[in-house]
Amino acid sequence: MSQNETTNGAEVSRRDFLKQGVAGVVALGSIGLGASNVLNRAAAPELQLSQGVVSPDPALCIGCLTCEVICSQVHKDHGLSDVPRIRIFNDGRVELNAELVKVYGDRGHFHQSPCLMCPEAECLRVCPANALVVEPKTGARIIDEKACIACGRCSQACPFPVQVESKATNQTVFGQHSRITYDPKKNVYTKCDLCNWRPEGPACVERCPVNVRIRQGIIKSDHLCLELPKASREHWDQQSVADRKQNA
Amino acid sequence: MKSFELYDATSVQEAVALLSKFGPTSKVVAGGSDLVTGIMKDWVRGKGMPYPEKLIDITTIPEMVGIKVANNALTVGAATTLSSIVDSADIKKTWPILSQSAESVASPLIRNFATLGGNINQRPRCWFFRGENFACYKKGGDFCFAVTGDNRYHAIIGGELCYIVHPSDTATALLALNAKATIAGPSGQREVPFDTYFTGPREDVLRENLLKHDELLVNVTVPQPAANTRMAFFKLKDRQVYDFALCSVAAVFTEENGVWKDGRVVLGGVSPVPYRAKVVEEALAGKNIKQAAKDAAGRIRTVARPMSLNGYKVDIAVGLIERVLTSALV
Ligand SMILES: Cc1cc2nc3c(=O)[nH]c(=O)nc-3n(C[C@H](O)[C@H](O)[C@H](O)COP(=O)(O)OP(=O)(O)OC[C@H]3O[C@@H](n4cnc5c(N)ncnc54)[C@H](O)[C@@H]3O)c2cc1C
Ligand code: SF4
Repeated sequence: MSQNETTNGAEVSRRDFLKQGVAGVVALGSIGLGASNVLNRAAAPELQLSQGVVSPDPALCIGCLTCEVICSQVHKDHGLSDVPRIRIFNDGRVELNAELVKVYGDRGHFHQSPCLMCPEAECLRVCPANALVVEPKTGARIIDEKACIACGRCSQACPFPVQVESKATNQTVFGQHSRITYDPKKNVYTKCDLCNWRPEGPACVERCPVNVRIRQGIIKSDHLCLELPKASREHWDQQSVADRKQNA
Repeated sequence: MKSFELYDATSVQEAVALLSKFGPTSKVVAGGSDLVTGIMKDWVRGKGMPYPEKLIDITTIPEMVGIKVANNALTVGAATTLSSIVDSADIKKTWPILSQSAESVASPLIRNFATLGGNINQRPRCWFFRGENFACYKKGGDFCFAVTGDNRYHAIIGGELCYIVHPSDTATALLALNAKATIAGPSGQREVPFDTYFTGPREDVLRENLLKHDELLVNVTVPQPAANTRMAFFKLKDRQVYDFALCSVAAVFTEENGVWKDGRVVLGGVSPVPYRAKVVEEALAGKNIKQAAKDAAGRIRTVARPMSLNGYKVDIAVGLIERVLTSALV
């Protein structure tokens, strides 16, 4: 089903109503917080910072796609959309970490595109259905799939584009433009939620095989391929500069 | 090896009913050359792969054994032995690459009891998967040892999470021949083209095809090749005696005055599924095959993503594709 098509049922009628409604200010005024934030951005309350943000080092990425696929799997197992929230792109500009090359050889050049858990989170502010919320335990900016009306505003508002998908390492096309992706199967938008229900934290960080080998001391590195630092404005400034450069 | 109960099914429905009744610890067995003398003997098991306790023999189902040519198509029962396929004059004459691919499997002794269905549905040969001490993704574990381990025989195309290569030689030929699978399950039988039969680790790392636990492959149907069809198959092995493919290539195409009209180029031993090399096919469209073969073969590099120790397989694939395309013209 394309995102503009409709199916039957009460929920969809509500979705359609909201989707059409957001075009008009009258409807915006009547649907609560998300809408009032759009109308009155200056007065937007400060958001709780995320407890973590997936922070990659492309120099350590071997393009194995474990992060992408495990992301899909754990979300699917949890009843959520199985569109991967992190993507890997071929990137000939990346200079590989010398230690990695020593143990693993030169197997290609890649960069990772995760969600940056923006302190300001434009995506959250523009959602007319209050589907984008701050998950209280982790501070992750997450999409409540049950509330999402698939209008796509969050995806458009996301300030971090991804490379053209023909450069995606797995050649799988999701029609992705930013870190928030449409899932036609579930007719929802989806984004990184830090796997907030998993005691082990984000599956990509846990399962990245380079992370595993670094933790075991087999690959010598003082940092991981996918780190999970606490979000801060300073970190976001740094990560966003690096991310924009990769996707320029 | 643990003991198991053996059930001789006498009909497809009975086999399906037994699988449904017994659940995931029951498995279809045909020749047993992979299931019994491989998976079970070597204790290949894990959280997502229970050790089989009940085996449902399907070689005792008459409708699943035999080779038929009717209505311009070939139908081979899934429980037909590979030797019967090799010995079939009909297959040799009209579908020679099926014959050659079956003959390239294992040894004559094994081919005498190993079946087509078993060949298509056999489990991967990854040495970590086959090793008792590696709880890898394919067994329901949480690591792929090939990613940072010895991956010289692993996937160079389409690996993700798990890096197996599909081991079946006949599957490579069948996909190139545009064959279809008849599948039986609790809700009856259905036909599926081999284009969609095999599934990669992204879909479900615990299996390699779309068969659910209580489904089985009943037979394989191969259409009669169109006029002016050329075909060739070649399998490269690491050693001269029987071995799995380092890389195999099957090409089936129609041509006119040496110009490519339509067809398929399929690679075995390089990807988690038998891999249809569409980039190669596209590079051949409307071109003189002999002249375009080298360049078209090289296009496989654009989709290849070798691991740390298997970059050599990309060069092999390029060389074999060119060889198979040109040898089909002879
Ligand atoms: C020494 C040796 C060398 C080999 N070399 C090669 C080789 O070069 N190339 C190659 O391709 N293979 C090779 N094989 C692998 C394989 O064992 C054979 O190819 C054989 O064809 C498997 O057939 P089988 O009837 O013995 O399968 P079985 O062992 O009975 O079954 C294999 C698997 O398929 C499933 N299965 C069987 N039939 C069906 C069906 N009809 N529907 C659904 N599921 C089914 C079983 O449940 C099991 O999981 C080799 C095996 C050995 C032992
Ligand atoms: S390639 Fe697949 S089967 Fe082999 S170790 Fe990795 S996950 Fe297991």
